[in-house]
Amino acid sequence: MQPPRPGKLDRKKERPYKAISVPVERLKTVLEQYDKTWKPNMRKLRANAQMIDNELFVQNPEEMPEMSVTAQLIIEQSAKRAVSLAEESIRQHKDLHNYVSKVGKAVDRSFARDIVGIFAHEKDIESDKDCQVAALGMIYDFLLADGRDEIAETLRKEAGTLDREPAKPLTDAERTVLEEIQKKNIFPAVEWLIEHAPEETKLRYDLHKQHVVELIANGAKEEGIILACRSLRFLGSDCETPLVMGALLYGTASQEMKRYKSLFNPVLWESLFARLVDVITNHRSSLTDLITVGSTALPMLASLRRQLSNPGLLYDEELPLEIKIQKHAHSTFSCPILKVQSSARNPPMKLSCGHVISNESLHKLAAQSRHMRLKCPYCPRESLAAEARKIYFGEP
Amino acid sequence: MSLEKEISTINETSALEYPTFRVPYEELNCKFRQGQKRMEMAGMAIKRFATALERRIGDAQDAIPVEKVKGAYKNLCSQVEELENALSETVGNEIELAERLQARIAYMDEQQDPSDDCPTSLIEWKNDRNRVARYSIWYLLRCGHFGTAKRMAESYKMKDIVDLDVFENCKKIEDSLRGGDTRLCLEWIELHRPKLKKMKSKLEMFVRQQDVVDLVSQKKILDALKYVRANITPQMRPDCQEELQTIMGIIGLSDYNNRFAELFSPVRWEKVGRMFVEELFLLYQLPFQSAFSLCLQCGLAAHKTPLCRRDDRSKKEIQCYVCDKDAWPIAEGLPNGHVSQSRILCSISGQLCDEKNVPFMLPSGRICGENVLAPLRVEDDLICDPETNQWVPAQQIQRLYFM
Repeated sequence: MQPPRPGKLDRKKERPYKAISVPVERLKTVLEQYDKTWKPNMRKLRANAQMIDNELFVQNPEEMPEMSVTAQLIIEQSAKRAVSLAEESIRQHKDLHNYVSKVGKAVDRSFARDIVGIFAHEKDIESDKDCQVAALGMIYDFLLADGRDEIAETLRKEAGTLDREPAKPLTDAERTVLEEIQKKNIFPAVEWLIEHAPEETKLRYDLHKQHVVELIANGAKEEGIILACRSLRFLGSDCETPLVMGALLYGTASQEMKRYKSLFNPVLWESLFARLVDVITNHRSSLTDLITVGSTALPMLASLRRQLSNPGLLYDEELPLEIKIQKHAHSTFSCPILKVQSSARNPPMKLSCGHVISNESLHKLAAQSRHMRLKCPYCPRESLAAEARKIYFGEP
Repeated sequence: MSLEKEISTINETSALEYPTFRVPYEELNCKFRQGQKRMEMAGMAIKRFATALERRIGDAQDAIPVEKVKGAYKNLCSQVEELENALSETVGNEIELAERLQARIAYMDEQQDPSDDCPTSLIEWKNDRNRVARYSIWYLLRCGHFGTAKRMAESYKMKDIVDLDVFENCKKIEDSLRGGDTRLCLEWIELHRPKLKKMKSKLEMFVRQQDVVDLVSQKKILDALKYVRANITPQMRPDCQEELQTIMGIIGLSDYNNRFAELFSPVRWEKVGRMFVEELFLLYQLPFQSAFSLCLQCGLAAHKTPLCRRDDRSKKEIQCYVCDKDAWPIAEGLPNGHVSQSRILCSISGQLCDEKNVPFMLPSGRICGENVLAPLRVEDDLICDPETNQWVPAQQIQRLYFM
């Protein structure tokens, strides 16, 4: 589904978190220790001081204007104790700063700070007005495609300048489908699909399957059997049915079994929601693909850039690395000789033998001989440069 | 090969997640400093009252009047109470922030190393979607679209993962500055003074300048002078000679028509508001480019080909992410993706041309796959050109070889 991530199995991938989690844990431990020691100490100190205050001053009748020597000593001692405890607690708290700053150092060490100048003509999509409108528009489409139409509407109002009409509101039936599926009720969805999108049998199968799984999880055995037999068989014998039936045999216990655990993952409900949103609204968003590809490629580009003394040269026309993408919308031609992509100035040319090379290669090869004749680099055929024909990449 | 190895050492996290951890750390540090200061103040007061008590009690040989110590002891008690509160609030805040950091570490760990034995495609689908949501929230926060960001954070259960409070506060202060009110901003400056000083920030000078301008335009010249005396301390003066002279110039000349007209215009408030946001970004060490912005641009560049042009048709009609009119303002000018292997599509059907669908060249110079052509060949030497619907000799449609 997605391009494989580089270094997915690389142990080093965990490093940034580990480097931070150790000092954070240590900090939390010392904070909790401090809390455990000093909170009761302080509470006692305060209670004690208040008690003395209460007994010597508050309840002291006016007719006793003098204070005994004992009372004076009690006051003096209490004050001394307050001073020493205060000093100690403050000093100890100050010492904790060491642990705080270690967290900061770990954070600073573990992450690259500012990545700029990765490619030519980098845009500032926060302050450039047109770019911001474009970016917010893409977020808007993402929210719609992800079934968050109310948040999308919030964004449309908040941004003001967004170049979008309000999304077509959902019908009551559609809204019910989406609300109910979040409560794990599949039936409005199934009904809606039968009426409006009968071709989505796989989705219907998956809805029923998840319903059965939910029944198993809740321990409703009998009802589960009946439904599982009816709806799952009716919607085609998917290879997942035996697994569900297996889970049924073990009942609620199957949730903990390695073999059946995957059936109960809550992500499955989320994905059913997403699929229903897709069928109902048919909104398109490119943001997930773009960000996913970008977040995979960016670290590679950043690290490559770090190694080059003059990176600017490489990054102008083309990215310096090939990045795997899933969606190819246009033809791309890379000259097999010069290894450059074709452009309007350097289009692909067909030699009379049918091999295609770039215009620049063609002329370099032909320039080596008289009369602009050249031999095809891939077959024995010779031809004239003038016989080569330009190729156009049109679209349907 | 060595390049590959090097590349794996810098990964997605280390490149893009700095603010996720830096911002709560900065909060932690700030809360620590504030708490320490508050406790020290209470401690000093306790010491002061204790000394006073000691002096009044002396060596406790005789009875003394109650009134002599009553007040001081009461004060001591209330300061002990203040210390108790300061201590428990401070440690509470600190533990909360440490937990916030832990929650983020746990979240990131889960994203990278899902322990579930759920189909990987589903986990990846969810992770990819959550990443988009998280980066979008950061972007919205940075652009000041706080309402949407907040709702998104709630809906995607990311309230602990993004720093809504910091940005909410930022927006509030920025708005108040734009509205001509410096109070909130000065409070903020007070909280972050040590850090701002380290940054050699001139923000306070500019904000104070606005207050002076305000007083001068109300013709309260003397008040303005007093304000400068009271608020611009000698420690601040050496770093901001120029600004200080401007302030004194404003007071001296009360000149809001000529030389300092710019300072008196309402636009100036906008500028100070923007400056505040910039300083806040610097203070939290937020990168100039957000992860959203970098990933989006990088993703667009990876998909971009020399054939990409702005296409005004609707999204459903265009296949290309880059040509989409809504993406084009960002994509324009970005470099193209690097392609080492040609990838040719049939210009009639859009299908990929490979060994199973070999490419041919139509008379027009465009490319057509065998899948489209095969049914159009009636006889060995006659074929219907799918572009023009004309019969042409088969030799005119030639096989192409892409190496």
